[in-house]
Order: sequence, then structure tokens, then C-alpha cells
Amino acid sequence: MYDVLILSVMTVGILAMAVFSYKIFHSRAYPVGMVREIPTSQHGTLELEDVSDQEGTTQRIFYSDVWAKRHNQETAYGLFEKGKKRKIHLRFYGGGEPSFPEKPQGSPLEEKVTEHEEALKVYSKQVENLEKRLRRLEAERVQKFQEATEEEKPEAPQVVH
Amino acid sequence: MATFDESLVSVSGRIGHERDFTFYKNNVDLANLLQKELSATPKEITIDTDGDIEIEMSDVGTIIATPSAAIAVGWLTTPKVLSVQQEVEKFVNTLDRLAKLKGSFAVESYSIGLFFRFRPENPLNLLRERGFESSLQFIFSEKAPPDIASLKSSTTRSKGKFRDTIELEASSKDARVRYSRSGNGAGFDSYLTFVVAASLREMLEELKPFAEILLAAERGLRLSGLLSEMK
Amino acid sequence: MALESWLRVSLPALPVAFTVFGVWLYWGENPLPLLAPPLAFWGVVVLFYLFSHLDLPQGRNYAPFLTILASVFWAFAAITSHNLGKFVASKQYVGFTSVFGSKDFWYAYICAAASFVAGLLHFIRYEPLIMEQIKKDRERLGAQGV
Repeated sequence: MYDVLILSVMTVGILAMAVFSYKIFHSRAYPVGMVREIPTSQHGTLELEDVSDQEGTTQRIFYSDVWAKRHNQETAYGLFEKGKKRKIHLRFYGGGEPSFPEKPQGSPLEEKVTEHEEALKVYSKQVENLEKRLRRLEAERVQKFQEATEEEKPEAPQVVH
Repeated sequence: MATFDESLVSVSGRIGHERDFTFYKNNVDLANLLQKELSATPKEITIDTDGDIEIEMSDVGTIIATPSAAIAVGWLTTPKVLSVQQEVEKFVNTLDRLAKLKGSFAVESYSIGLFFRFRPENPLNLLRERGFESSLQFIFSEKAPPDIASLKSSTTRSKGKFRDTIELEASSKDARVRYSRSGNGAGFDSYLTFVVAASLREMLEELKPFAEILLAAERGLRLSGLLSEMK
Repeated sequence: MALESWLRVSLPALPVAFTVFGVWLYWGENPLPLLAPPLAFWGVVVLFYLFSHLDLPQGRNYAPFLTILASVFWAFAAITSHNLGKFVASKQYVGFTSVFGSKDFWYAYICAAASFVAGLLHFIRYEPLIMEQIKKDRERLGAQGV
């Protein structure tokens, strides 16, 4: 019984292997990912320029498209210090002169949303400043009046012994 | 020595309305108009760096016009005067006129506020004794710091159609109390209706017990000062 | 066959070589119980290598199933080799031909042969394709100056 079971399983297994092999032999096969691209490294230089605006500094970042393929954009931005024009040595992959595509622009809708957000921030700041100013004005008026009233008070009578 | 009714109080008011998007373009014209209508002399009207119009008035404090509000701040008076309807109406009407001169904008909110400044001998200790000590002990787990530099507290509550904010600030020099009441513009026909409904008398009555403690402490300080001078 | 290809078939065959040259020839011990599992394992490794470097759009599911089957046969061969080892160590073993009477011998070596043959056949078919592609890729990269 035990032998029959094992023999049956083996037979099924071998038959299955034969069938699968047949199927594989009769399907198209494409060798993939055989050779890694490990080119010789090449040093290059990259110049950064910062563009200041009212809110702070933004960066015009140039990056090679090969670099961008290997690292996501956040990584590339994170590598650069803000606000200074400086030269950075970078290792380029792929050889040859790197191409520098411009930072991709947002859609007009995205720009509008950003503008609106900035305007809201400015407005909130204005409101905050107004509140502070009103409080200060009120406190100063009262304080001045109180101090002026104290100065005007007659002096206490002097008792002479 | 001043009693509560004779103590100094600063009144402020605000009419908040829809934003006037042309305000900053036309603020000079508006300033000229206000000068004419409110009888303010040229040196009393200024346009600040933000473009808001500020008018120094002798009887109602400082009037400020912004794109979304007409504000009056710093009308120095006493609780006794505030119990007189006509005096309050003068203040209210000035602010109302300012709002109307700015243009027809839907009113969004009304607000009125009272501000007191007291100078007892040791405002911080006084307030600690009167209740803040337990808050400090609660925060610092029984090890409340012996010396504090300042104290701030802000409380808001809803009372019928109104929203109240009571703020207390104390330092080593003084104790300041701000009690403001605001309401939705749609709930009232005019600023006067709002102020009447808000009842300045009721607001003053609520503050009176607290104010009298601080005033008494002020009087005590003055009295000891006088006595030491006499010696 | 290129040197790289020889390397690819030789490395998984090291356990087999150890059994033959070490256990049998050097130590003079009976290799029969120890030979089946490495033979099966060779087939598993080669199949795994081949299907890691091939894309089969139509036969996509068959490749992993085949590899899994080969692994199952290896497990079978290992278990039955253990029993074969007991047999060889027992008094019933009286020479090489006596193992043909043992069921475990047949189970172990049939399973090992199935796995081994599967690996071998696929290697013969696909290794030239892979080597051809490698050659093309290297020429391309060489032309780019990398």
C-alpha cells in the first residue's frame, strides 16, 4: 500500500516534469538581465544656482537623467545645501557628457493652488499682526493714561514735627 | 482711591465684514473721505505700512479701517460711564459710520471688548493665592516653582448667541484682564442691536468681584506707600 | 561550451564530486546512499539558475512549478537515501548488486535522475541562448565605451 502510494506520486511527478518541460521547450524564451552595466566611473562637476524669492530660497537643481534614474528626486535634492552657489563633484554613470534637464514644472492648476496657499499664509500673518497691534495699542493707551494720572496727583502733605 | 465703578476701562469694538478686495487700491481716497466725514484733522489720519487706515479720535480712541473690518480700540472710560446708554451709543455710532463709509459689505461678525489693567503689589503672588497655585501644582506635580515670571490664561465659552473670551495676563508689574464678546453678523440688525444685546453692564458685573480684589490690592499698596512717605 | 557555462554546471556539482572523490575514492566508503541527493540538488540549482535568467512569456508558470517539483524530488531522494544507507549498513547488503533489491535504492535514484535529467536537458537547450545574449550585451556595452 505504502509502496503503491509512493510509486504513484513519483510517477505523477515525473510525468508532470515531462509535461512542464515540453511546455517550456515550446514557448518563447528570452534571456534577460544577463550583463550588469558597470561602466568605469567618470567625475564631473555640477554647478548650483539658487533663486531667491520673497518667501525664502528655492533651488534650481540640475541633475543628470542617469542620476535621476538611480535615485529619486528627493534624494537628489537632499544632497544639496540650500542657498549657496557652489560646485559639487558628482560621479556620473553611463559615460559621456551628462544632460541637464530642467526641473519639471507643475501644471497650471498646481501653480494656482500654490499661489493660493501662499496668499492664505500672507493673509493669516496679516491678521495675526493686526491682533497683536490692537492689543499693544490698547495696553499702551491705558498704561499712558494711568502713568499720566499718577504724575498729576497732588503730593502727600508733609507732617512737620 | 478708585472703586470699581470709577476704575479705568478701555473699550474696543469691531465690525467684521466681507473682504473689500479694492481696499488697498482705494485706501487714500477712503482716508480722505473719513477725514471729512469723521471730522479728523490731517495729522490724526495715517496709512500704515500694511495699507490700513488709522485715525486717532479724541472721544472714542483709535479707529482702524482694514479690508475686512472696522475697528475702534482704546476708548478710555469707566464702568460708571458705560452704564449710560447715550455714551455707549456715541461709541457704537462712530464705528457704525466707519463701517458704512467703507462701503456696503455683508457684516460677518460683531465684537465688543473690555480691558482692565491693575497694578497691585505682587500680581503674580496674588493670583497664585487666588487659585493659580493649584493649577501650577497640578502641572508640576506638587512641586510648583516658587517664582514665576508671567502667567497667561485664556478661556472661551458660548453664551446664547455670543461667544465670550476672557484673557488674563500677569507679570511682576501688572495684571491685565480682557473680556470680549462676539456674535455672528447675521444674528443682529446693527451694531447697536448687538451691543445692547451683549449688555456691557452684565459683562462688568461678571468681572466686578475679580476686579475688586485686584483694586483692593492696589489700594493697599498705595496706602502703604503713602504711610511710608508720611513717616 | 564556454568557460562560464562550465563554471555554472561545475559549481552545483561539487557535492557530487565530493561524494565520488572524497567519500568513495579517498575514504573507500560506499557512496551509494550519499550520491542521490547531490545529483538531485544539482538539477534544482541549474533549473533555478536558468529560469532566473529567462523570461518565458507563454510558459511563465511552468518554470517555477518545474523547479518546485525538482526540489520535491530532491527531498524524496534525500529521505530514501537515508533508508538506503541503513540498508547498506545492514547484513542484507552483500555487494553492489544487492542494492537493486532495495526499494529505497530505486526511489532515491529515480527521483535523483528525474531532477538531474530535467536540469541537464534545460541547460543544454537554454544555456546557448543565454550565452548568446551575454555576448551581444557585452558587444553593445563595449561599443558604448563602458
